[in-house]
Amino acid sequence: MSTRLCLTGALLACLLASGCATKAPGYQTSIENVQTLAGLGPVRAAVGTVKLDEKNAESMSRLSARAMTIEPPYAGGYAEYLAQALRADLGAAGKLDPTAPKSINAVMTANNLDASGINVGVAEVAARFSVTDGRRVLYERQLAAKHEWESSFLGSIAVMNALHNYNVTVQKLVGQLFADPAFAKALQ
Amino acid sequence: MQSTLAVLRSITLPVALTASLSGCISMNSYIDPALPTVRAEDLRASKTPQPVQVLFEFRTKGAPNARGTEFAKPIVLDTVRSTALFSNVTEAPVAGGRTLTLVIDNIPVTEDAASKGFATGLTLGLAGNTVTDGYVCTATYTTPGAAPKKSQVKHALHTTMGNTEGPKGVTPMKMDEALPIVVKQLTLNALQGVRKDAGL
Repeated sequence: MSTRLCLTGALLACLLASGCATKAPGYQTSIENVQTLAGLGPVRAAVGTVKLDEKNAESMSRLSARAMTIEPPYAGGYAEYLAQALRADLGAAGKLDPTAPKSINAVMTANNLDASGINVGVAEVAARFSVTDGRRVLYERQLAAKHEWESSFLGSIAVMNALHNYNVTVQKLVGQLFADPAFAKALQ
Repeated sequence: MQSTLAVLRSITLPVALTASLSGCISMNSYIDPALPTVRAEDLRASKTPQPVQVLFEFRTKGAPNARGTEFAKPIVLDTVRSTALFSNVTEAPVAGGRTLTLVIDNIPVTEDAASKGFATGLTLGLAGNTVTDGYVCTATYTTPGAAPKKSQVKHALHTTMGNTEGPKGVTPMKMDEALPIVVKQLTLNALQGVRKDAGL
């Protein structure tokens, strides 16, 4: 009995302390966002430049949960994750057109994941979004999303929860953009 | 980290992973027998089949669960395609603008499941426990210019840990065998409901 407990404890300690890396799952389309976009009418937009803010690009390009490094699922890092989020939701709503004169751009200004809590995990993402038509800037706004979820004292569960809740945080961020009346007006 | 079992664990109660960490606790899943059996071949279109865009999301207690969506989406899409209700099933918008939105929400039926699960894990299966995951599948079929047609079905998956007997007369399965079946059954039953209301 005590041997089993020791083994279980050792396994848990390894899970909590190991410096492994895992890849975050790819962005999953948000039904809520797609429905919001569907309500915008016959608008079309391309996804233009999406990048990390140069001031803190280094820290934003790395995420970790407990001792585990969370690698982005796309070669372009977390900026590409945000770009994919925009493309996926716009595409599913039939609003994505790479040849459209209007482009949605973003500079990611915050990208944080905290799974250290025993009870609560939290992620925060923020970006300065713009809609441009050639050189004309039709929309510019800083938006931020914070998302909390149930975590665990077990590292493996905490990491897993963090992995799929990062996606939800990005869904919330782009959801704010799509629901902004000024954004809708800019696309008209 | 990316194994199927790991994904399954993330979309059922975390209890399952807690228990499995000890490596010596028996776990069996039992699909609730209450939901009627619907076969894909029974779902045929009464009119000319039309293309449809399928939007799917897996949720846990109402909140989007990306890993659950990643796991269950191929099963849902394959299941919709296995019926003869639509001429083409795709995730992209289709000509005619028809959409089928499917949402599966995982709700812990045993409210204190986490505490019961921890008790089982820490006593290495001697106590024995059962947790039940409820699944609510909502299908919404939308045709431009018509009111959306909705259908909702409920299902359950019982998982025993330790020295607990499962429901009598129900076949024990591994969780990674049971969950795809639950997703498929939910999808087919929800489609049957939508088919009646939408006159497909």
